[in-house]
Amino acid sequence: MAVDEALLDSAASGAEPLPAVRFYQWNPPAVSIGRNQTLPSSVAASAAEAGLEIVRRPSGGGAVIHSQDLTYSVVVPESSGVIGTYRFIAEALIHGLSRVGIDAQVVEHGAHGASVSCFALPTGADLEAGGLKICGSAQTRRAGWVLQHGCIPIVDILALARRVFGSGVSDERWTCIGNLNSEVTVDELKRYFTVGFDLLFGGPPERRGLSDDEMRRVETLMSKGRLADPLVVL
Amino acid sequence: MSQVPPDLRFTKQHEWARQEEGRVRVGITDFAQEQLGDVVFLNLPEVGSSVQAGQALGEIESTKSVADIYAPITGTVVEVNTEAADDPAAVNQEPYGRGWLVLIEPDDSGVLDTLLDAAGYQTLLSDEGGEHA
Repeated sequence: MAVDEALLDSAASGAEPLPAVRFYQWNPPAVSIGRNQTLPSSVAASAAEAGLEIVRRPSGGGAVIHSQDLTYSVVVPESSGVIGTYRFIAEALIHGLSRVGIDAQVVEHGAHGASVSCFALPTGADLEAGGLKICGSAQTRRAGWVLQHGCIPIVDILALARRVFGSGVSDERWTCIGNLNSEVTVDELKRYFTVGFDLLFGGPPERRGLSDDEMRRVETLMSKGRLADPLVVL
Repeated sequence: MSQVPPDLRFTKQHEWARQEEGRVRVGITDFAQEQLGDVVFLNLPEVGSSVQAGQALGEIESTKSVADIYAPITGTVVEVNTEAADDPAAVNQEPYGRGWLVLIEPDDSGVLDTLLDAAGYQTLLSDEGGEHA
Protein backbone atom coordinates (compact mmCIF):
# COMPACT_ATOMS: atom_id res chain seq x y z
CA MET A 1 0.00 0.00 0.00
CA ALA A 2 2.86 2.37 0.83
CA VAL A 3 4.51 1.52 -2.48
CA ASP A 4 1.28 2.24 -4.34
CA GLU A 5 0.87 5.60 -2.64
CA ALA A 6 4.52 6.44 -3.35
CA LEU A 7 3.98 5.65 -7.03
CA LEU A 8 0.91 7.91 -7.09
CA ASP A 9 2.81 10.73 -5.38
CA SER A 10 5.71 10.25 -7.76
CA ALA A 11 3.44 10.59 -10.79
CA ALA A 12 1.42 13.47 -9.30
CA SER A 13 4.56 15.43 -8.44
CA GLY A 14 5.91 15.05 -11.98
CA ALA A 15 8.94 13.03 -10.85
CA GLU A 16 7.82 9.85 -12.67
CA PRO A 17 4.85 10.94 -14.80
CA LEU A 18 4.21 7.51 -16.29
CA PRO A 19 1.49 4.91 -15.74
CA ALA A 20 2.42 2.12 -13.33
CA VAL A 21 0.92 -1.31 -12.83
CA ARG A 22 1.63 -3.76 -9.99
CA PHE A 23 0.25 -7.19 -9.12
CA TYR A 24 0.70 -8.74 -5.72
CA GLN A 25 -0.61 -11.18 -3.14
CA TRP A 26 -0.64 -10.84 0.62
CA ASN A 27 1.46 -12.56 3.25
CA PRO A 28 0.19 -12.57 5.93
CA PRO A 29 -3.42 -12.34 4.79
CA ALA A 30 -5.10 -9.09 5.66
CA VAL A 31 -8.19 -6.93 5.57
CA SER A 32 -7.59 -3.69 3.74
CA ILE A 33 -9.92 -0.85 4.68
CA GLY A 34 -10.77 2.31 2.79
CA ARG A 35 -8.86 5.54 3.26
CA ASN A 36 -11.49 7.05 5.50
CA GLN A 37 -13.30 3.93 6.61
CA THR A 38 -14.09 3.12 10.20
CA LEU A 39 -14.46 -0.50 11.25
CA PRO A 40 -16.99 -1.70 13.78
CA SER A 41 -15.16 -3.17 16.76
CA SER A 42 -16.84 -6.52 16.16
CA VAL A 43 -15.37 -6.72 12.66
CA ALA A 44 -11.90 -5.71 13.87
CA ALA A 45 -12.08 -8.39 16.56
CA SER A 46 -13.28 -11.04 14.12
CA ALA A 47 -10.47 -10.17 11.71
CA ALA A 48 -7.89 -10.49 14.48
CA GLU A 49 -9.33 -13.84 15.56
CA ALA A 50 -9.08 -15.04 11.96
CA GLY A 51 -5.41 -14.05 11.83
CA LEU A 52 -5.96 -11.16 9.46
CA GLU A 53 -3.92 -7.99 9.77
CA ILE A 54 -5.67 -4.70 9.11
CA VAL A 55 -4.15 -2.29 6.62
CA ARG A 56 -5.47 1.09 5.53
CA ARG A 57 -5.50 1.72 1.78
CA PRO A 58 -4.83 5.10 0.23
CA SER A 59 -7.86 4.39 -1.97
CA GLY A 60 -11.48 4.74 -0.90
CA GLY A 61 -14.21 2.16 -0.62
CA GLY A 62 -14.98 -0.63 1.79
CA ALA A 63 -13.10 -3.42 3.53
CA VAL A 64 -11.63 -6.26 1.47
CA ILE A 65 -10.22 -9.58 2.63
CA HIS A 66 -6.93 -10.39 0.94
CA SER A 67 -6.56 -14.11 1.33
CA GLN A 68 -5.72 -16.06 -1.80
CA ASP A 69 -6.67 -13.15 -4.01
CA LEU A 70 -4.75 -11.30 -6.71
CA THR A 71 -4.47 -7.58 -6.02
CA TYR A 72 -3.61 -5.03 -8.69
CA SER A 73 -2.71 -1.37 -8.41
CA VAL A 74 -2.70 0.97 -11.38
CA VAL A 75 -1.55 4.59 -11.55
CA VAL A 76 -2.83 6.43 -14.62
CA PRO A 77 -3.38 10.05 -15.67
CA GLU A 78 -6.82 11.38 -14.78
CA SER A 79 -8.17 11.50 -18.31
CA SER A 80 -11.76 10.61 -17.52
CA GLY A 81 -14.21 10.60 -14.65
CA VAL A 82 -14.50 7.97 -11.96
CA ILE A 83 -16.63 5.57 -13.97
CA GLY A 84 -14.64 6.31 -17.13
CA THR A 85 -11.41 5.30 -15.38
CA TYR A 86 -13.00 2.11 -14.05
CA ARG A 87 -14.10 1.24 -17.57
CA PHE A 88 -10.67 2.08 -19.01
CA ILE A 89 -8.77 -0.16 -16.58
CA ALA A 90 -11.44 -2.86 -16.83
CA GLU A 91 -10.57 -3.28 -20.51
CA ALA A 92 -7.23 -4.78 -19.52
CA LEU A 93 -8.81 -7.05 -16.92
CA ILE A 94 -11.60 -8.13 -19.26
CA HIS A 95 -8.97 -9.03 -21.86
CA GLY A 96 -7.01 -11.08 -19.32
CA LEU A 97 -10.10 -12.89 -18.07
CA SER A 98 -11.18 -13.67 -21.63
CA ARG A 99 -7.87 -15.45 -22.18
CA VAL A 100 -8.80 -17.93 -19.46
CA GLY A 101 -12.32 -18.38 -20.75
CA ILE A 102 -14.07 -16.00 -18.37
CA ASP A 103 -16.51 -13.56 -19.95
CA ALA A 104 -16.58 -10.38 -17.83
CA GLN A 105 -18.08 -6.93 -18.29
CA VAL A 106 -18.48 -3.66 -16.42
CA VAL A 107 -21.97 -3.26 -15.03
CA GLU A 108 -23.13 0.08 -13.66
CA HIS A 109 -25.50 -0.13 -10.74
CA GLY A 110 -27.53 2.94 -9.92
CA ALA A 111 -28.61 2.09 -6.40
CA HIS A 112 -26.00 1.97 -3.68
CA GLY A 113 -26.23 0.92 -0.08
CA ALA A 114 -23.98 0.90 2.92
CA SER A 115 -21.81 -2.00 3.96
CA VAL A 116 -18.50 -2.53 5.69
CA SER A 117 -17.49 -5.07 3.06
CA CYS A 118 -16.61 -4.00 -0.48
CA PHE A 119 -17.97 -7.23 -1.92
CA ALA A 120 -21.25 -7.18 -0.03
CA LEU A 121 -23.01 -4.68 -2.27
CA PRO A 122 -23.12 -3.67 -5.91
CA THR A 123 -21.53 -0.27 -6.47
CA GLY A 124 -21.11 2.28 -9.23
CA ALA A 125 -19.22 0.20 -11.80
CA ASP A 126 -18.56 -3.43 -10.97
CA LEU A 127 -16.58 -5.89 -13.03
CA GLU A 128 -18.89 -8.88 -13.20
CA ALA A 129 -18.82 -12.39 -14.60
CA GLY A 130 -22.08 -14.29 -14.93
CA GLY A 131 -23.87 -11.49 -13.12
CA LEU A 132 -21.62 -11.73 -10.05
CA LYS A 133 -18.87 -9.36 -8.92
CA ILE A 134 -15.43 -10.74 -9.81
CA CYS A 135 -13.31 -7.72 -8.85
CA GLY A 136 -13.69 -5.16 -6.07
CA SER A 137 -12.05 -1.83 -6.95
CA ALA A 138 -11.43 1.57 -5.39
CA GLN A 139 -9.71 4.79 -6.43
CA THR A 140 -7.98 7.85 -5.14
CA ARG A 141 -7.33 10.91 -7.30
CA ARG A 142 -4.52 13.36 -6.72
CA ALA A 143 -3.19 16.25 -8.84
CA GLY A 144 -4.35 14.87 -12.15
CA TRP A 145 -3.47 11.22 -11.45
CA VAL A 146 -5.54 8.26 -10.34
CA LEU A 147 -4.51 5.28 -8.21
CA GLN A 148 -6.89 2.36 -8.58
CA HIS A 149 -6.76 -0.80 -6.49
CA GLY A 150 -8.57 -4.00 -7.35
CA CYS A 151 -8.98 -7.36 -5.64
CA ILE A 152 -9.75 -10.48 -7.65
CA PRO A 153 -10.63 -13.46 -5.42
CA ILE A 154 -8.99 -16.66 -6.60
CA VAL A 155 -10.70 -19.11 -4.27
CA ASP A 156 -14.03 -18.99 -2.52
CA ILE A 157 -13.58 -17.31 0.88
CA LEU A 158 -17.24 -16.93 1.68
CA ALA A 159 -16.90 -18.74 5.00
CA LEU A 160 -14.03 -16.47 6.04
CA ALA A 161 -15.90 -13.37 4.85
CA ARG A 162 -18.94 -14.35 6.90
CA ARG A 163 -16.73 -15.00 9.91
CA VAL A 164 -15.24 -11.50 9.63
CA PHE A 165 -18.11 -9.40 8.32
CA GLY A 166 -21.09 -11.39 9.58
CA SER A 167 -23.89 -13.33 7.98
CA GLY A 168 -24.91 -10.39 5.77
CA VAL A 169 -22.19 -11.36 3.29
CA SER A 170 -23.87 -13.37 0.57
CA ASP A 171 -22.48 -15.53 -2.19
CA GLU A 172 -25.32 -14.28 -4.36
CA ARG A 173 -23.36 -11.11 -5.19
CA TRP A 174 -19.80 -12.19 -5.88
CA THR A 175 -17.77 -15.03 -7.27
CA CYS A 176 -14.13 -16.03 -7.63
CA ILE A 177 -11.80 -17.23 -10.35
CA GLY A 178 -11.86 -20.78 -9.02
CA ASN A 179 -15.63 -20.98 -9.44
CA LEU A 180 -15.30 -20.03 -13.10
CA ASN A 181 -12.08 -21.79 -14.10
CA SER A 182 -10.55 -24.12 -11.56
CA GLU A 183 -7.51 -24.81 -13.77
CA VAL A 184 -6.05 -21.31 -14.09
CA THR A 185 -3.07 -20.30 -11.96
CA VAL A 186 -2.27 -16.90 -10.48
CA ASP A 187 0.83 -16.65 -12.68
CA GLU A 188 -1.28 -17.24 -15.77
CA LEU A 189 -3.73 -14.56 -14.67
CA LYS A 190 -0.93 -12.06 -14.07
CA ARG A 191 0.55 -12.83 -17.48
CA TYR A 192 -2.77 -12.34 -19.29
CA PHE A 193 -3.63 -9.19 -17.34
CA THR A 194 -0.21 -7.83 -18.26
CA VAL A 195 -1.00 -8.45 -21.93
CA GLY A 196 -4.26 -6.60 -21.38
CA PHE A 197 -2.41 -3.59 -19.95
CA ASP A 198 0.11 -3.77 -22.82
CA LEU A 199 -2.79 -3.39 -25.23
CA LEU A 200 -4.35 -0.64 -23.11
CA PHE A 201 -1.18 1.46 -22.97
CA GLY A 202 -0.10 0.68 -26.53
CA GLY A 203 3.02 -1.28 -25.72
CA PRO A 204 4.77 -3.43 -23.17
CA PRO A 205 5.56 -1.69 -19.89
CA GLU A 206 9.01 -0.76 -18.75
CA ARG A 207 9.90 -2.89 -15.76
CA ARG A 208 11.53 -0.76 -13.10
CA GLY A 209 12.24 -0.70 -9.41
CA LEU A 210 11.41 2.15 -7.10
CA SER A 211 13.50 5.30 -7.36
CA ASP A 212 15.41 6.57 -4.34
CA ASP A 213 12.76 9.24 -3.80
CA GLU A 214 10.00 6.65 -3.99
CA MET A 215 11.83 4.43 -1.49
CA ARG A 216 12.15 7.38 0.88
CA ARG A 217 8.43 8.10 0.48
CA VAL A 218 7.61 4.46 1.25
CA GLU A 219 9.77 4.60 4.38
CA THR A 220 8.14 7.85 5.44
CA LEU A 221 4.64 6.47 4.99
CA MET A 222 5.49 3.31 6.87
CA SER A 223 7.25 5.14 9.68
CA LYS A 224 4.23 7.35 10.15
CA GLY A 225 2.12 4.23 10.25
CA ARG A 226 -0.43 6.06 8.15
CA LEU A 227 -1.26 3.00 6.07
CA ALA A 228 -1.97 0.97 9.15
CA ASP A 229 -2.91 3.87 11.37
CA PRO A 230 -5.16 3.54 14.40
CA LEU A 231 -8.62 2.49 13.42
CA VAL A 232 -11.44 4.58 14.64
CA VAL A 233 -13.35 1.70 16.07
CA LEU A 234 -17.01 2.36 16.69
CA MET B 1 -26.00 18.94 -18.43
CA SER B 2 -24.07 20.20 -15.43
CA GLN B 3 -25.10 23.50 -13.87
CA VAL B 4 -22.57 26.35 -14.10
CA PRO B 5 -23.92 29.38 -12.20
CA PRO B 6 -22.91 32.61 -13.96
CA ASP B 7 -22.02 34.48 -10.76
CA LEU B 8 -19.32 32.07 -9.57
CA ARG B 9 -15.61 31.59 -10.29
CA PHE B 10 -14.07 28.18 -10.92
CA THR B 11 -10.82 26.24 -10.73
CA LYS B 12 -9.55 23.79 -13.33
CA GLN B 13 -9.90 21.13 -10.64
CA HIS B 14 -13.65 21.75 -10.51
CA GLU B 15 -14.06 23.79 -7.35
CA TRP B 16 -16.27 26.89 -7.28
CA ALA B 17 -15.71 30.12 -5.36
CA ARG B 18 -18.20 32.83 -4.45
CA GLN B 19 -17.28 36.26 -3.05
CA GLU B 20 -19.37 37.06 0.03
CA GLU B 21 -18.64 40.35 1.81
CA GLY B 22 -14.91 40.00 1.47
CA ARG B 23 -14.85 36.28 2.20
CA VAL B 24 -14.93 33.42 -0.29
CA ARG B 25 -17.25 30.44 -0.03
CA VAL B 26 -15.94 27.28 -1.72
CA GLY B 27 -17.42 24.00 -2.90
CA ILE B 28 -17.12 21.49 -5.71
CA THR B 29 -19.03 21.97 -8.94
CA ASP B 30 -22.13 20.16 -10.11
CA PHE B 31 -19.98 18.45 -12.74
CA ALA B 32 -17.51 17.24 -10.11
CA GLN B 33 -20.20 15.76 -7.89
CA GLU B 34 -21.75 14.03 -10.90
CA GLN B 35 -18.39 12.49 -11.75
CA LEU B 36 -17.64 11.39 -8.21
CA GLY B 37 -21.01 9.81 -7.56
CA ASP B 38 -22.53 9.38 -4.13
CA VAL B 39 -20.40 11.38 -1.67
CA VAL B 40 -20.01 9.51 1.62
CA PHE B 41 -17.27 11.36 3.52
CA LEU B 42 -15.73 14.83 3.76
CA ASN B 43 -12.38 15.55 5.38
CA LEU B 44 -12.39 19.32 5.86
CA PRO B 45 -9.72 21.57 7.43
CA GLU B 46 -9.90 23.05 10.90
CA VAL B 47 -11.26 26.58 11.31
CA GLY B 48 -8.25 28.89 11.56
CA SER B 49 -6.00 26.79 9.35
CA SER B 50 -4.16 28.38 6.45
CA VAL B 51 -4.77 27.19 2.91
CA GLN B 52 -2.67 27.81 -0.16
CA ALA B 53 -4.12 28.35 -3.65
CA GLY B 54 -3.70 25.18 -5.69
CA GLN B 55 -2.88 23.03 -2.66
CA ALA B 56 -5.18 20.37 -1.22
CA LEU B 57 -7.30 21.65 1.65
CA GLY B 58 -9.18 18.42 2.28
CA GLU B 59 -10.59 15.26 0.78
CA ILE B 60 -13.91 14.16 -0.60
CA GLU B 61 -14.80 10.49 -0.80
CA SER B 62 -17.55 8.89 -2.84
CA THR B 63 -18.59 5.27 -2.87
CA LYS B 64 -15.87 4.56 -5.41
CA SER B 65 -13.15 7.17 -5.16
CA VAL B 66 -11.28 9.62 -2.95
CA ALA B 67 -10.25 12.99 -4.38
CA ASP B 68 -8.37 15.97 -3.02
CA ILE B 69 -10.23 19.28 -2.66
CA TYR B 70 -8.02 22.14 -3.84
CA ALA B 71 -8.06 25.64 -2.40
CA PRO B 72 -9.01 28.19 -5.08
CA ILE B 73 -7.29 30.97 -3.13
CA THR B 74 -4.75 31.54 -0.39
CA GLY B 75 -6.14 32.53 2.97
CA THR B 76 -7.50 31.38 6.31
CA VAL B 77 -10.42 29.04 6.84
CA VAL B 78 -13.02 30.89 8.92
CA GLU B 79 -15.88 28.39 8.68
CA VAL B 80 -16.42 24.80 7.56
CA ASN B 81 -19.73 23.25 6.63
CA THR B 82 -20.23 20.83 9.49
CA GLU B 83 -23.75 20.07 8.32
CA ALA B 84 -22.37 18.78 5.02
CA ALA B 85 -19.72 16.80 6.90
CA ASP B 86 -22.53 15.15 8.83
CA ASP B 87 -24.65 14.69 5.71
CA PRO B 88 -22.26 14.42 2.73
CA ALA B 89 -25.16 13.71 0.37
CA ALA B 90 -25.77 17.47 0.51
CA VAL B 91 -22.80 17.86 -1.85
CA ASN B 92 -24.64 15.76 -4.44
CA GLN B 93 -28.00 17.34 -3.83
CA GLU B 94 -27.02 21.03 -3.68
CA PRO B 95 -23.35 21.50 -4.63
CA TYR B 96 -23.79 25.27 -4.91
CA GLY B 97 -26.08 25.55 -1.90
CA ARG B 98 -26.05 23.63 1.37
CA GLY B 99 -23.31 21.38 -0.04
CA TRP B 100 -20.68 24.16 0.21
CA LEU B 101 -17.46 23.13 1.96
CA VAL B 102 -15.44 25.99 3.48
CA LEU B 103 -15.48 29.77 3.90
CA ILE B 104 -12.08 31.43 3.45
CA GLU B 105 -10.78 34.85 4.46
CA PRO B 106 -8.51 35.62 1.50
CA ASP B 107 -5.05 37.10 1.89
CA ASP B 108 -5.61 39.08 -1.31
CA SER B 109 -9.07 40.52 -1.95
CA GLY B 110 -8.67 40.59 -5.74
CA VAL B 111 -7.59 37.01 -6.08
CA LEU B 112 -10.83 35.67 -7.57
CA ASP B 113 -9.98 37.45 -10.80
CA THR B 114 -7.36 34.80 -11.48
CA LEU B 115 -9.98 32.03 -11.53
CA LEU B 116 -12.12 30.94 -14.47
CA ASP B 117 -15.42 32.71 -15.00
CA ALA B 118 -18.53 30.71 -15.95
CA ALA B 119 -17.82 30.97 -19.69
CA GLY B 120 -14.24 29.85 -19.18
CA TYR B 121 -15.35 26.92 -17.06
CA GLN B 122 -17.93 25.91 -19.65
CA THR B 123 -15.14 25.92 -22.23
CA LEU B 124 -13.00 23.77 -19.93
CA LEU B 125 -15.81 21.23 -19.63
CA SER B 126 -16.28 21.22 -23.39
CA ASP B 127 -12.55 20.84 -24.03
CA GLU B 128 -12.40 17.91 -21.66
CA GLY B 129 -15.22 16.20 -23.46
CA GLY B 130 -17.50 16.47 -20.50
CA GLU B 131 -15.87 13.49 -18.82
CA HIS B 132 -13.16 14.90 -16.60
CA ALA B 133 -13.70 14.74 -12.85
